[in-house]
Amino acid sequence: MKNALKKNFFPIALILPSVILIGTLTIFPIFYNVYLSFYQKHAFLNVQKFVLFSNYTSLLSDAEFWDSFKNGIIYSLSTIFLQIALGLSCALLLNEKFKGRNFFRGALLFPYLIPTIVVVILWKWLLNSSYGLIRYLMEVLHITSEPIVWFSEENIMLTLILVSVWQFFPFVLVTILARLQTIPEELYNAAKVDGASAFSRFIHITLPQLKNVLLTIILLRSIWMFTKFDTVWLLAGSESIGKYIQTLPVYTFRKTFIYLEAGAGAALSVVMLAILLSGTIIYIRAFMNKEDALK
Amino acid sequence: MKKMVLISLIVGVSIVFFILAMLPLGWMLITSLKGSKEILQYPPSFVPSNITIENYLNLFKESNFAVYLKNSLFVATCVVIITNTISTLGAYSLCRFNYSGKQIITVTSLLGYMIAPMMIVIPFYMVMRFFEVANTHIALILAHTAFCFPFALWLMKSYLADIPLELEKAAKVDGANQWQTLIYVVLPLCTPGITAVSIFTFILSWNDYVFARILITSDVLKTIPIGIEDIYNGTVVDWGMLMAAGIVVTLPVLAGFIVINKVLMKGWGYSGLKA
Repeated sequence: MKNALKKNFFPIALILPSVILIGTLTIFPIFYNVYLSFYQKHAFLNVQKFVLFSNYTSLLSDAEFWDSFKNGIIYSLSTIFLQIALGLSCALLLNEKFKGRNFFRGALLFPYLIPTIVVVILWKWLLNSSYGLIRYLMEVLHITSEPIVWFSEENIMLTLILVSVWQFFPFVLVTILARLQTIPEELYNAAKVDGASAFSRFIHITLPQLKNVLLTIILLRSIWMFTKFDTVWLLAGSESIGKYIQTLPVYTFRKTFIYLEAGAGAALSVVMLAILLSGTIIYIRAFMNKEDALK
Repeated sequence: MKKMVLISLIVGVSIVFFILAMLPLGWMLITSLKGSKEILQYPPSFVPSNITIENYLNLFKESNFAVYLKNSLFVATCVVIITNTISTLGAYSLCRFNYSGKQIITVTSLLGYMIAPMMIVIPFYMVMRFFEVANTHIALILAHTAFCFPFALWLMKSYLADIPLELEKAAKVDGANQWQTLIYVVLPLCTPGITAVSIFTFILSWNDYVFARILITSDVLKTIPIGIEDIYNGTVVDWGMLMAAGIVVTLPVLAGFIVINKVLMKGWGYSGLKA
């Protein structure tokens, strides 16, 4: 034992700070979260009451919980689909050689880099029903005659989806593009020699090469869109129309910091975590080999 | 001929997407340079009749924006330094050595990456309040490190894996011990990795909303996202000022990013990239 420690001193010394960091900042909070969920705890005052599973069982009959869950599913699925569609098309385009390509690549990453608050305020300004640029463009292009109220009950979810897709598609774009760049030119050349059309080359060469990246991206984006708080909350979460887009993270936030029920909020986080973990395991088992998943 | 058509088509569609991504930002810039009366004109003007910087001046005069900028910069820089140091050391250990528990650490860091901030917000808040350090920059720095670090470790590990072993072997042959090999041979080669990790971490910290909102209550400690939100929620919405704030926050990120574009692309597709 002593010998092993001596032999491994260097690597252990190097990894120890990392372990401490992850242990205290990531692992411990998760366990503490579970612990909290068994109590009814006031968010500010030091008042608590041990209730074991009652926070969880009350969720089952909580209409707001199921509504938020449903909204979360709608939100994630729509945004992911659109992000992938947009990201993939842009990546395919930017994979071709042309002048100024590098500039476009940098510029298209832009929406992802701006703080969410700036994204949201910018779009609130663009979509403003009275003064917004979008209203003007739609009128000029004769798309609509009546100004659209983007921040209404009926439209708010659509608005949220569009803003989110704008904000996050660059991530998909860059990831797919990076992978596209590693596909050897020879594969395409050989196919061309054999007379394959561009479409056929896409289906039989590009797509299979992209399979792993796409599967990973879909998984990651699903997790992140389902647990996305900032964009949803800042767009309309704290207003009355917020209830039409309330997702689980927003519900968790409100429960903890507005209703001040920290225990209930903790239970919600644990439920979210459970949904994510089970979803991920099922997804990986169904679609990916273990080695690819760990890349 | 066919190739020409294809290329023009590609450039054309690229331009459309480019407009989609950049038009909002261009509009933000244009609006920020307009006077308050002109901003509320409809139909909106594409070129301001009088280019004015009054929005920028107001931003710094009428609000604590300069303080918010300073705070965000401070917090983000600290997070970058801490994350880089610890993740580089840890990644080297994970990369070059074998010991029990190595696999667990790797998997845990991957899981940590996937678990969004929302999972740890509540316990973080409770613990910080308990120790009465909630309304401090230290709490915020720790919070940001919590969700930046797992990914940083993962990324550094990938970069280090690409560094050829021969260099370290050569150093050992020359009589260097493990520490010397690490510091004098490996670290200088890590520059692309450290750059990529720094950029990711800086952006994540700079843009964080949730932790800053929950932990910070004093105005002088606020970071940019919170500062801007509070300006927005002020008595009257001053669109010009808000657009100016957006530009001030965005332009440095854009400039820095275009400059380091190549390095970042390498980071994102670290598995053998041909630019």
